[in-house]
Amino acid sequence: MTDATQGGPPAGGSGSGVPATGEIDALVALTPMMARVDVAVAALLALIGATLTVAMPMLIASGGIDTERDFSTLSSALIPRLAFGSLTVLALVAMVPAVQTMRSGIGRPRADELGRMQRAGIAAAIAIAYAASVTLLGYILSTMLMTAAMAYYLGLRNPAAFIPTVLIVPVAIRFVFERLLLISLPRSSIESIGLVEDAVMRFLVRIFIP
Amino acid sequence: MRTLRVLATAALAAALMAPLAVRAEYPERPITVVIPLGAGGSHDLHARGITPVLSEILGQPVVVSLVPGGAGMKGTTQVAKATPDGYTIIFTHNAFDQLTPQTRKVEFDPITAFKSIARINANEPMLAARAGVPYKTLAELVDYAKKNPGKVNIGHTGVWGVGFVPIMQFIKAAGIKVNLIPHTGGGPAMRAVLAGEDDLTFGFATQYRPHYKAGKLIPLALAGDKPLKNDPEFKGVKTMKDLGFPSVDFTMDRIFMAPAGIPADRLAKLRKAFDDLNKNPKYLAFLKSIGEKTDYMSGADYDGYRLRRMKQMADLIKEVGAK
Amino acid sequence: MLATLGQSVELLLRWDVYLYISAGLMVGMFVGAMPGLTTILAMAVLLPISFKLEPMLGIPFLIGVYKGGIYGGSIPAILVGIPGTGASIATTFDGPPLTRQGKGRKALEMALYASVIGDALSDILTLLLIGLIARIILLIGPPEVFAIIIFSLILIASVSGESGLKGAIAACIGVGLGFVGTESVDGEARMTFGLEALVGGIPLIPLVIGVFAMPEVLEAVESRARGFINENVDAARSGESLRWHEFKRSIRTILRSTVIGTGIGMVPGVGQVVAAFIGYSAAKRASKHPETFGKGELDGIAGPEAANNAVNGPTLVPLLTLGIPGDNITAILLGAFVAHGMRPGPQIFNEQGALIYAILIAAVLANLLFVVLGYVLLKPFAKAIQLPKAYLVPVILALAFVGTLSTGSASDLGIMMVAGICAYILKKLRYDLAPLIIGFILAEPIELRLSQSLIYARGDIFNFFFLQRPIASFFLLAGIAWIAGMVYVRYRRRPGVAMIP
Repeated sequence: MTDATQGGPPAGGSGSGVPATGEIDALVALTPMMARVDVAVAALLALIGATLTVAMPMLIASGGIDTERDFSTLSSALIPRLAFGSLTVLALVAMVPAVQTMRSGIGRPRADELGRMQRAGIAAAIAIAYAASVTLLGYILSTMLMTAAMAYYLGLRNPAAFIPTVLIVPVAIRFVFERLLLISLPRSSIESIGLVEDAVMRFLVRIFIP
Repeated sequence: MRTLRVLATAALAAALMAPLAVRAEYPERPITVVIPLGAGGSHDLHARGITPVLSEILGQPVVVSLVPGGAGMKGTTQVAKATPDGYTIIFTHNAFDQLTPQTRKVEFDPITAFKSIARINANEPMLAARAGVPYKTLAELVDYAKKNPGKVNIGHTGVWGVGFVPIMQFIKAAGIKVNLIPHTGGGPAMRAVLAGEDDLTFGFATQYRPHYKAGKLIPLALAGDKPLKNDPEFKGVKTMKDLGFPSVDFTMDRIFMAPAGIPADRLAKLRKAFDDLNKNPKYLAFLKSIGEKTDYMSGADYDGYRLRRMKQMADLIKEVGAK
Repeated sequence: MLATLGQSVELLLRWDVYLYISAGLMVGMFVGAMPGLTTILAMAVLLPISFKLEPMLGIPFLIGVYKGGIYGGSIPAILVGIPGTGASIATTFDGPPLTRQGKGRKALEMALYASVIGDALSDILTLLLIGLIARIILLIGPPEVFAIIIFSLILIASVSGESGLKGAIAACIGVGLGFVGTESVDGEARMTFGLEALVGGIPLIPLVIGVFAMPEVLEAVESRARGFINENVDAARSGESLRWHEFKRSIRTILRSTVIGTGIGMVPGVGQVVAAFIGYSAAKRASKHPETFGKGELDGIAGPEAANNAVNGPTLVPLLTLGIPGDNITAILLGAFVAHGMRPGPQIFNEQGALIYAILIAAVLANLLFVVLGYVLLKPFAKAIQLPKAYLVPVILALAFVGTLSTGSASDLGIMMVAGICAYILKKLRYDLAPLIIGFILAEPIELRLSQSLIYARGDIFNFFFLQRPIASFFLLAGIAWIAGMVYVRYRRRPGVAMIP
């Protein structure tokens, strides 16, 4: 780490518009919370890498043929092992600066960091719920629910804009893709909802497709 | 309060529409045909000509879904496990149906998981050599290979694929050792032969034609026992049976199958649709335009045929020594 | 030869050819703009329509779809950081920053011009040098592909300098993921953990959608801003068109990328994705201000976009001269040719020369059409990005799901979500995700090509590579020389330089 007073602009130069080197380091480094996650992730990657490198032969199912391997010298475990071995080594190496950053406490917490995490978390939860429900509820219904949740959360409250968006977007998307481009999208496994979907689709087909 | 009323109306509407939907006849929504291969292959090409005609016959769109990967098992498993309501069927070939599932762990029983709808045609693989090899007939090739074990490069299009099985049958029957070169498809295999990297490969007449005419390929033998009588370029190619290798008889059947639990009436309707397809002039014209012929076998017949073939493949696998 | 060209020109003097090309371009652009919808899918669906048309209309129609698709992919890449096609991944480096600065439209236009120029020049080169290219293609076998891929990786890595260590880790993860599935040489299944969904390998599209779309969506929600464009950007200026002087700066980049793309087009199995990355890396390397790359540099759009379109010309060559499709897209074109009764292969120029040349020239002209069409069509997209996030985010997420669902089963959704959330976390930790995707895409080709080469070599590696395959050895040695050069330069610069990890 360079000494903040080594040449260049004065340290702590607030108001001059040019951040000092020390401040740059602080801005560029990860926030304390993130720094901890960084260390954890690096450790996790090293662990996964090591496990896979060692255990690779066990993960290879058979089904191929007994090729005459006297000429070729690559077993199907070799290159994956190289890849995961490199991963392990690199992850271990990456742990060093990560731990350094965490210990030295250089990074400044970002404004509203917790708020950001919270918002991202909720968005992620909506997305996961959407993914889980698509086969169960069918594309149209689950997309409607997702759109409703997401748009509401992002601030669209005015019913005049909200309701049409929630209703039209999923139906329009499904129509365009399923009937015009012939890409099948999941139909609900709950029969009654599925039948409603089919009925709506047939109705639109009659209007739009000559 | 308003929300409650909206919901109630929707529920009522759904309930009213439900019986209407149930009374409609099969098929009443699009049917999905899964092809466990990548885009652009011969199955894809056939499907593009079949689906419009089939859609007319059945009265609902027939939609292709390409699911390549896993040596064909990804798409096959998907259909094996799909709801057997007649809305998901598979368009595949016999290697994926009768051979590959026996070489690895699969999540379905290869024998009982499917019922055949129809076989639409079959292609016999042809063994061809590049121009410039030191042998001109099959017998000379065998001779050369015996004297130079491991020096002959034969390219194939994937382990247990349609270009691979006849090679296995051949090298077992002839007792020779060769260098097997894997490729990711018919195209790369062809390129390797033309570039002189591979000496031989098993492929199909349509692919070979332009190169044969340009003098770059020497056809040596045709798998099976039926010569290509109507083929202008290749009608003179001797069959493996004639040349003394009757066990090299693998042909690629293009087949349509449905998951086994399909209701009998829907299966019958599909089988009838394919019977009609096979007589449809638009379909026949299409086949002709892509240089293929029809070689129809009904679903009922194919069910029996495939069981016999499966046993044959099981024996081959044991011989080759798959782990 | 002149007579054939004369006949070709005659074939082109009909207005309906251009109508169909335009229709193809528009469909292609739309499909390309939807993440997860592949041009291959669109072409495959439209193939029956093309059958009903005569060859002079049907084949240029499909070619239009193809070209439209490659450009279309850059639209979401630039506006929201989600590549519509694999080829646009490199466009996601500078695209979103430009959009946030209100320069979204400029970026879209730069991408359009770069794509069109790269494509047209590469098509013209192909037309003129078709015989030579055909011969070169036959010389490029597994050892050459292996060497070229390695060389490309070294080039790309040498430029993504800043996050070197984390970039390398991402690449290793990508390569590891790329090996999940069935191995090509022996047919064994690796790392599938008994999951049926993985036997075919991790599917690319859900992975790309997850890795790019999820972080973008989550980051969009994170920030309190109402729209995608930074709030301090003057609303009147965002949506401004590209100015001539801004375009002029990138002309050299476009030409360089065209050469790169055309070269890559001749190597089977490398493709547009890698070409785009190399184009980007080369532009960054040659730039007088490489530090602006990644922060909103128009040159960083021109580089990849010209390269990925320039791949198109040569990929048609093996198709036309040998009847061998180089990739899935050309495989579909082959199907189209065959269904129209044409047999691509050595004879086709003798038998149907006029038609083939006409089609190739039509491909070049398609680009001219596209400049006009694209310019008009991208305006609504540029406007749409100005809508509040509350509308855009659900639509983006819904479309991302459509993209994943269109290629396969619902299990792909699981892959997309897992990949997406992990990518989000990694991105927050400053891991560079692009090497991950490149590693993933190139894992199997590297292993396959190496295996094939070793099988050909029959144990005699040195002899095989260096004596029998000079082109391969050239690229391998060039790669080593490049690394040596970089190490030397780094070493010379070391004293007194602060290194930010």
